[in-house]
Amino acid sequence: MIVGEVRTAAIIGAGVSGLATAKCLTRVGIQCAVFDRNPYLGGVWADGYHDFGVQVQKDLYEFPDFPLSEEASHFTPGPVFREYLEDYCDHFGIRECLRLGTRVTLIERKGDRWSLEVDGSESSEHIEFDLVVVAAGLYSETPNVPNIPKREDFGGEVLHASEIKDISQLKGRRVAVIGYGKSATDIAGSAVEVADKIHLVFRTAHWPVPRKLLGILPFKWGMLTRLVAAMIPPYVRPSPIVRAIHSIGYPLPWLFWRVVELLLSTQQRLRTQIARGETLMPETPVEFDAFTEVTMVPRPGLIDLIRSGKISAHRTGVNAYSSNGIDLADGDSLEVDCVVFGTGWKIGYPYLPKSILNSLDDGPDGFYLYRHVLHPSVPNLAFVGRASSFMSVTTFALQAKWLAEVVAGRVLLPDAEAMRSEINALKSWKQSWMPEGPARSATLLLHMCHYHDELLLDMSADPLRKRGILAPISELIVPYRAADFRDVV
Amino acid sequence: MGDFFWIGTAIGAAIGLLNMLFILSSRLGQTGLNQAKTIWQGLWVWALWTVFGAYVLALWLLGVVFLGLSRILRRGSEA
Repeated sequence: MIVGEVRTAAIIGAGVSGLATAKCLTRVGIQCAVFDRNPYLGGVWADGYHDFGVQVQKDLYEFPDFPLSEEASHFTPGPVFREYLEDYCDHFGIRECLRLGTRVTLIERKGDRWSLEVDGSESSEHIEFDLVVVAAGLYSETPNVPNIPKREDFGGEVLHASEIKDISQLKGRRVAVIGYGKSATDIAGSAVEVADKIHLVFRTAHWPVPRKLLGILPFKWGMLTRLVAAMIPPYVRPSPIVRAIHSIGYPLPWLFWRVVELLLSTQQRLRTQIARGETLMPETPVEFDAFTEVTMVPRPGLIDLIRSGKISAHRTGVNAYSSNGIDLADGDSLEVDCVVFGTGWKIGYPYLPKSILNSLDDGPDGFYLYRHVLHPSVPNLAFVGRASSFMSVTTFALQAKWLAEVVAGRVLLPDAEAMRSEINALKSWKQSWMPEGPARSATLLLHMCHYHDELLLDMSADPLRKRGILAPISELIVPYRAADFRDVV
Repeated sequence: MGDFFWIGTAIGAAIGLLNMLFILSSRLGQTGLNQAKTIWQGLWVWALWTVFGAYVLALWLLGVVFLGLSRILRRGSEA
């Protein structure tokens, strides 16, 4: 929660959420300093693996009040998005807030203020602020590389996907890519052109969402509308009609998702046989799989590469390294000279001391926050960007605006007890059905429109964003775009 | 067929009416929300439920059949 008068704010992270927060807070008269360990802004877009880019259409992934240029491609490449963030920074005059190349190493409560220990290129210092906003996303800077036995036996190279800056690093090599998320499948798909042999090893198959459903309809039309939002497992406090749909009406959403599964498995040919007679068919129903950490919008052609054998897929775990490769849990051994982990990043905030994490009630799901931004037990510490959404930029921009309104006193928070009760309701609801995982507390994904509704209502803005005489139909079947939120942020 | 259509339409109209009343009661009087938009939204919701009521009922019945079959098959394979 927010206590006392806020005049200064430290924002940790100069990515999408950090920049949006700096824009909104400076507009309500707060003096901001945006810290980022990198010497350049952009956060996850500052630097990425070979050919990285946005996996959703550009009208979903842009600032509501600062659209991407007409010329930008529908799926924005990473370097283009980074340039866009530079332009955003200049457009809203927040460049003077940036303190790039400075790493926050510790945050401590000092009386009514926060003290930050900050390491610059030459010296370290302590600076005090009234408010700290953690805008560094959900994941830390530590690659999530599973600890596989007998690493010392393996004579080849072990890399994390983020280290593949140029796909020619894999030229002429026999490569095993571990994982089934975006980075793993992107690397495997690109490496086909240069590598001698590519294996893709994953334990769990997920439902891959094609960029276009049936090859015609952009996936947002089939996944991100209010009509579909009524079919997913109901939000924490569903409306009576949604409750009815998921009780007496349950055969309806059940049938809907089975049809979706049929379409996806046919279009993506998920019954394709891979190693050991396995297939790519996921086991978890699509309406629950959509809430796991791995969101699959694979690059076009990935499944064809698997079908043609150019990528050799193995649905199993890795038991151990061997002298010339890796031994798989299904008994196979792969002869490779490079292993690439596309297994994401570890979750965590290394600068938050244990005492604060305890106050935040950090657990196996991560920690739950009021509106995914504030916690009643830790005053003047906010999180922006700690939520997974298909429209992350819009979600983070709304969070930043909401926080600025709270700080300015235009949005009144409930008392601590009511916030705790809200947090506990969210926690029990998620734990009752959502797949387990260290990011479960921050998972929104298909529920993002309900979350946006909450933020908008708090800010006395109308959650129904569509305009015109046919707006009620559009609300139901037309997906939201970032531009629909332009007049709010 | 004609009876089924009218039954579906009637059920749709009833659900639509309840849905409309919920929208009106939850939105009217809330700060920042446009009242005309709320009423327009409510009316459309009612109209859509009424128009598509029979189709929704047909899909629900299909769902009942397939869901039932899938549960029987799953029970059979587990046994």
